[in-house]
Amino acid sequence: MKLSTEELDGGITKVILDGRLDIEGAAAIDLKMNVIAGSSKLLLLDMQEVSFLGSMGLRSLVVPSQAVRRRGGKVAIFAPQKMVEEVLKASSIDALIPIRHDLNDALAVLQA
Amino acid sequence: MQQTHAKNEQGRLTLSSRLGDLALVNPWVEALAAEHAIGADTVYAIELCLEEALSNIVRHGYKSAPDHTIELSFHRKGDAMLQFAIEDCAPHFDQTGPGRQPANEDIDYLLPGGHGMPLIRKFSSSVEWEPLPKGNRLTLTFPSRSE
Repeated sequence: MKLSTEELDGGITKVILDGRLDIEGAAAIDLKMNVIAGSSKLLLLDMQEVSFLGSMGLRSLVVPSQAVRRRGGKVAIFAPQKMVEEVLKASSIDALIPIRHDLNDALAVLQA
Repeated sequence: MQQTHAKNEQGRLTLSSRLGDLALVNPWVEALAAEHAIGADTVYAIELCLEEALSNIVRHGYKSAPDHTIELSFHRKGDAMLQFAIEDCAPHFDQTGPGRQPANEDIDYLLPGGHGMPLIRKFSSSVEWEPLPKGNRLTLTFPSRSE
């Protein structure tokens, strides 16, 4: 599981995730995600290249998102693959972290 | 690196009760998928449900004690269904029982770790638990159609 970041205009941090967000993948990114969540208020989670998401992977997204929200920030998920999106929706994550497939729409969620 | 008891035979896989051993499940499932022409979405559902069920067994059934075994077996159930049975020697525990439900009113109430069984129910056709004389059997079924 790979994680990289890109700073966008407007103070948005884009977190690019790549690989399987299974137990092993979740362990690989947990610390980095928590560090990012501690220093950013607007997080765009780019999930285009995430091929698998399980409940431990969900935890790796939800815990840092909780931290960002508690500090008055916002989080959006960008472009998850079909089955990954089904997992997000089955877990009701989408009710709390908006999912957008258009980049401008995802950025608008954060800038609103 | 810790020793593993993992053993892979056609239609059967034996794991140690370590989360690290779960990495052996996906290659096994993918080999079955190739052999039985199982579609990609069904493979995803199988891998998801097995990861959730097996991690529950390791963490809750065996309380993360590493030197127990978990047996997986695969059977075709007619032409329509794929069946995976997971047997362990842990004390009886019914992971299909009512668990914590993810709340949806506020992100602070989204419970990390509370999604495993709801995901299994959503992505499998059925999930059944039965107590064994010394352990548990969890049986998961999936449709065999390829996408």
